[in-house]
Amino acid sequence: MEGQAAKRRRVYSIEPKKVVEEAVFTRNYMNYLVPALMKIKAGKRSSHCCEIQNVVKHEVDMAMVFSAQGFAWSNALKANLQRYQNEHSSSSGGPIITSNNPSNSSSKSIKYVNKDIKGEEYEDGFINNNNNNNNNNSKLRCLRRLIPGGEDMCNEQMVEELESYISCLKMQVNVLQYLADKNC
Amino acid sequence: MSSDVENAMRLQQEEKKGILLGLGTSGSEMASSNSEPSNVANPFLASSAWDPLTPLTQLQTTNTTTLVGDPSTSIPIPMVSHHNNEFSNSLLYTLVLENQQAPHIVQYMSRDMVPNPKVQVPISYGSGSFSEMVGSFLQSPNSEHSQGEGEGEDSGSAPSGNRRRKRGHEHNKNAEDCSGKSSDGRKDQDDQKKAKVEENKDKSAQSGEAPKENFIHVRARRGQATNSHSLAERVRREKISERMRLLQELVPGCNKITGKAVMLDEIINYVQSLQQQVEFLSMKLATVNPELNLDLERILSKDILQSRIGGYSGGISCSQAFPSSSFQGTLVPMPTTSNQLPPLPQSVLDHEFQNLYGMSYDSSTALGNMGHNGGSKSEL
Repeated sequence: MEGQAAKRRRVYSIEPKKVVEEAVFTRNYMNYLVPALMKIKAGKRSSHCCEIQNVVKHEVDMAMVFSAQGFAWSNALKANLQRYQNEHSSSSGGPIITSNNPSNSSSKSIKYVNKDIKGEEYEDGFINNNNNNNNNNSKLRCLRRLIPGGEDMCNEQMVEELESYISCLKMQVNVLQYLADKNC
Repeated sequence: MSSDVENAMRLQQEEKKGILLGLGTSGSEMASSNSEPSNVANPFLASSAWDPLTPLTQLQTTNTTTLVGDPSTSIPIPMVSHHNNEFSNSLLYTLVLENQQAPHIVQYMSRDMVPNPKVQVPISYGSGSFSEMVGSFLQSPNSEHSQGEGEGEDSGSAPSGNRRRKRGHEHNKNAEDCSGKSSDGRKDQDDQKKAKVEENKDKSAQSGEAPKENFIHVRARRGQATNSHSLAERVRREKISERMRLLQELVPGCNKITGKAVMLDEIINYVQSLQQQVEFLSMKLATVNPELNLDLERILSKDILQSRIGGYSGGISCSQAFPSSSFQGTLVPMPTTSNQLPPLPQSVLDHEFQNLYGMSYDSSTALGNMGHNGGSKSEL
């Protein structure tokens, strides 16, 4: 059993299944993001474009966090953002965050995920065929990397979180598209 | 078990008395017992007042079993059969009503009153959406179960066999044992669904008494492996597949896909593309110099909402009828916006508004509203 200690624990939250309403999400998102953007623009002269991009991305993610509270992925995203902020607190330019992994810890987490191959096969039991199993496992691993905080979730929880995450991502894209189009 | 039930019930009694009143079943005795003061009534409650509950739960189970035709339980209370659905429905409504105030109490109710459990998490707490709860509740009368048999079976099998702890901070060691050992994923044999897949879910008390374990009682279907590990695995798999079905609706273009692998691929692609879009748009926002005005921002947020609801045509009438309270809360954290109002030229505003709403906008009202300071911004 100790060998599986590093495995993701199947911890279920007895919390209600939350549905993020579009109107609420959109409003919260705009309310957070627009003032933040204004502030960034106000201080634009001092920094150059990479930093601005980082800061904007940061604010975009923070807006996401505040608009969709109560999900595991949003908490994880918030933790990642705060960690990023602590690491790059000064105005010196940090690395540009890539889209797929909005957290710095993603590279480290990949190592853990790869180590867990055997554990996953026990845990998933998805389909009978060994080939299928491996394929599905690798896909699940991919998904786990995509969703913030996915490394700490078990499969079941991850699938639950995916629902809210996907719908929030969609709404976020809508809002951002609107803002970007308006300003062009 | 019964004493624990009574304890739980007593605690719930102390906190909120109105729940059982709404049940509207033959428990008029329950209604009267609710009016007892809590400190006096404890022994009373323990002895007699909760007795109606146990036959009620038995009623519940016997009703469904008689519907199915299972002669296992022999409690002859036939007349309540048609009340079963009403009971569960009325319980549902009561639960929903009481949801906001006493979520954990509702949880107790769900455990003891409704032994049906596909009603899992949604039943028990506050902010789940109503339609979900209705859906899961209304499913429940259709599921077959017999509580008496299930318990008998469980006592026979290994203690960690069919059970699974479901609790916030307890670890799921038992299920891990089960699924850890069953690397054999046996296929479900769905040919003979004389199935009695019963899932009773008990939620443990959170009130500080000895934590009870949460169990899911599952019975093997006919022709399936009865190994406890594979049973737990099967339950897990079914849950995950259910979730995947929900995801199918979220991801566009996945309605026809019937394979897990393909579905997963689609999901991964979709999430990746969404994330890339977010990245791209944020870069775009960073580079473009925004002419954002926070006053516009309110309008825009309304606009985004309405474009989701149904197009621009109803925009004006909706916006004027829009409840002011919904935006006042959001305006509070931004008191500094008022000083940005004056410099906007009217023509820009008009143009913007016409673009947004697709019809002629009354600029005078717009400016009139903008002239106000802070408080009456909801006029827009």
